[in-house]
Amino acid sequence: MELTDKLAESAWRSQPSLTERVGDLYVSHREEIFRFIVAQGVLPAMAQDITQEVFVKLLATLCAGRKIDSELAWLYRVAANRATDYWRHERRWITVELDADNTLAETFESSDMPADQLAAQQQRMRLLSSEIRRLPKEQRMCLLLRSQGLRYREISSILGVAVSTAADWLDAAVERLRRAVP
Amino acid sequence: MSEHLTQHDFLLYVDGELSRRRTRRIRDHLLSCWSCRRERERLEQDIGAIVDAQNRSFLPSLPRPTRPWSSFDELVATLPVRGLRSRQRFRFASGILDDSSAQMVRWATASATVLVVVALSLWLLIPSRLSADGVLKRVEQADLERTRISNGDVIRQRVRIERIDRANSVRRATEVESWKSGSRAVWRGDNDKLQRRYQTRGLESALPLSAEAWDNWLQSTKKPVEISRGPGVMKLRSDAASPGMDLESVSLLIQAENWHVQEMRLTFADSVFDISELDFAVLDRHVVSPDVLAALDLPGTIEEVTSLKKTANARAATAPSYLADSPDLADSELGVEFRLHQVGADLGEPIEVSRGVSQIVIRAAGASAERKRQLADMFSNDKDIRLELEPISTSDAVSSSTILVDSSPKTAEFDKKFVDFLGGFEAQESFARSVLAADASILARLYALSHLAKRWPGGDNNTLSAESRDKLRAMVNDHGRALNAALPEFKHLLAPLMERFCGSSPLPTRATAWQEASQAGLQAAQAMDRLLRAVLTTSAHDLTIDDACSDLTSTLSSLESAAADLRPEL
Repeated sequence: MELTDKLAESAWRSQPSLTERVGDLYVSHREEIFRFIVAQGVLPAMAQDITQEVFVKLLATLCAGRKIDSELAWLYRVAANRATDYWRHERRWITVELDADNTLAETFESSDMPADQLAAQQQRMRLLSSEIRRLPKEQRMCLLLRSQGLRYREISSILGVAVSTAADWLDAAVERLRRAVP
Repeated sequence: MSEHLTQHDFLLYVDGELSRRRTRRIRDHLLSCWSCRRERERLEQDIGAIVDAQNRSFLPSLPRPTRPWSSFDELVATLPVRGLRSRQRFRFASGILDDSSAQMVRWATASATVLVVVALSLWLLIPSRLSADGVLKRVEQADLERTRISNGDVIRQRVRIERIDRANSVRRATEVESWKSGSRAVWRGDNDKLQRRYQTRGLESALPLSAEAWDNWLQSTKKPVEISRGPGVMKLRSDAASPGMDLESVSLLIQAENWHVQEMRLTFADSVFDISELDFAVLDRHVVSPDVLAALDLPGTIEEVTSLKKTANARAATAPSYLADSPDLADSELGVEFRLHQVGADLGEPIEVSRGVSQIVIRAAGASAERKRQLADMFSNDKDIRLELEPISTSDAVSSSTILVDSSPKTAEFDKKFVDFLGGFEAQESFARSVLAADASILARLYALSHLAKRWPGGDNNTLSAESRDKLRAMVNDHGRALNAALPEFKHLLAPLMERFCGSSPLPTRATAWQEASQAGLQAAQAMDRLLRAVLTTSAHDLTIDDACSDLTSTLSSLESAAADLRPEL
């Protein structure tokens, strides 16, 4: 038994790169994954737990020898599944308000734009942001995932739909936002 | 391609999601079509604006994490590490052992495994080294033994509940007193939403800290229970199989010497509950307050009163001789009752007055600490009175609204028509609280009257002095006055409901003596209480207002009739 333990421990120690790699992913992408989950209406505390667990699960999956083409897409897909589990389990949790918007002014403070242009751009951004909040959840998720650099195939895999459906949702989201803010 | 491109085409094109052939065709088209080139530029500008709005406005407006992020090393080192490491170990060890050059290692490992299995089997046979399941069985057995009660006895458990809100780490501690008899349980005190979670799990009839409760919670994690040991204690813990579950983990702290569960921790996604036992007792139902008995629906509470009339005349003949021959003790007993009445201690509190051989005995083990102190001040220097109190607790007993929980796993389904009439669920809840509070007040008066009627069924002219008879009459009048004052308020509360859903009341039947009126009134009030709880709360016998209407009308009428007979003489 001891011998087996030593052999296993030795093997474990010889593979630190895997833990480091997922650890790096965790640092660089945890906020995105967290926001992705929160944007689906999961409460922040729960979303944070899910986020952490998703990364640990990635490490466990990689340790088990499974090959993952896109780790980022995999993370989003598992996060989406977890969020859906929550949604199915406790519908009342899908009540996180997405309407607080007190950060916009600060984001423009360092701009060199003339005041009138700045005001116009702020207004446009507010309208767009407001319209993003009003998008159907699927369209909002498509938009969010696409802006994170994921391909349609990955988005469709994360959301569990056909590629053409993901493309249609994204198209509909862009169409609606363009119409809302001409 | 001569037709202009659609937004869908553009989007797929700029996102690089088209086939090579299709991409080439669109590129060719754009070379020749100014309009589409301009449209493509606009789309890309708009996408840029959307991305900006998303990154600079929408995403920052989303809620932030509620606590600092754990480091990845911490995450790996805690919850999943055992499974993770064991999987890795197994994989790597398997790989190594599959190598034919490591035959010696395989033999050594196989031998070691056999030895370990044998050693483990022997190890597990030692009681102090039971597995988690073994410990759980012992704990359940211990709980079963202490909760085994005879018919009519009541278990009382006082627990401290500490709730930690995980969002802001705010702690809130409270005490809950609970009673159980048969398949019903009553919780009293602000349990900070724990009771609702118990109801969700179908634990309506469980005491907060009981085998019924922890078995259910442990099962709900769907994961094996793990054990760890410390000096004098054992800890059982089970983490939820899926991180998406509301309940994340359950842990029990067990005293090794008696297998008693000292504390249970329930970790939910939003809060943590620590439940620890302060006090556990099996009580005779006679020392339990009437409202608790009514809530527990104990058999015998009504029959006892109704049979009283039949046995009242026989009481003197069957009573011990010292009762019949001790007019002084009878006066003393009534004097005690009167003093309790003067301080309002005869309204449903667990205080029992009885005659001993040469003393009046006051049993108030279940009374609040404050009441015990008061009783000690009042009676401790009286040599004719023996006061039986538990050691006075430093913490005040909790007394707030009674929360009735039943064994029925029903959800809160109320008569929609009834709820609509009252203006929604919140209004219904508020209405129920008001009505049940008034109902409890009436019940308390009638229980007090019924108690007096039971003790002095015929006025006891032969055993009571004139002064005691005056005191008895004064108590009856006080309760009658209070009852007659409370009843109109109660009727006023019920009036809109009765007018809307029920017809006219039947004529009341009149009683003749205050003793009979007390008993009749108590029966009516108990029936009323059951009906109201069936209509206004989720009970084992849910009724619609239409179903209950007829009985409500008749019981209210009987109650009025009894109250009229109990109106004080001018």
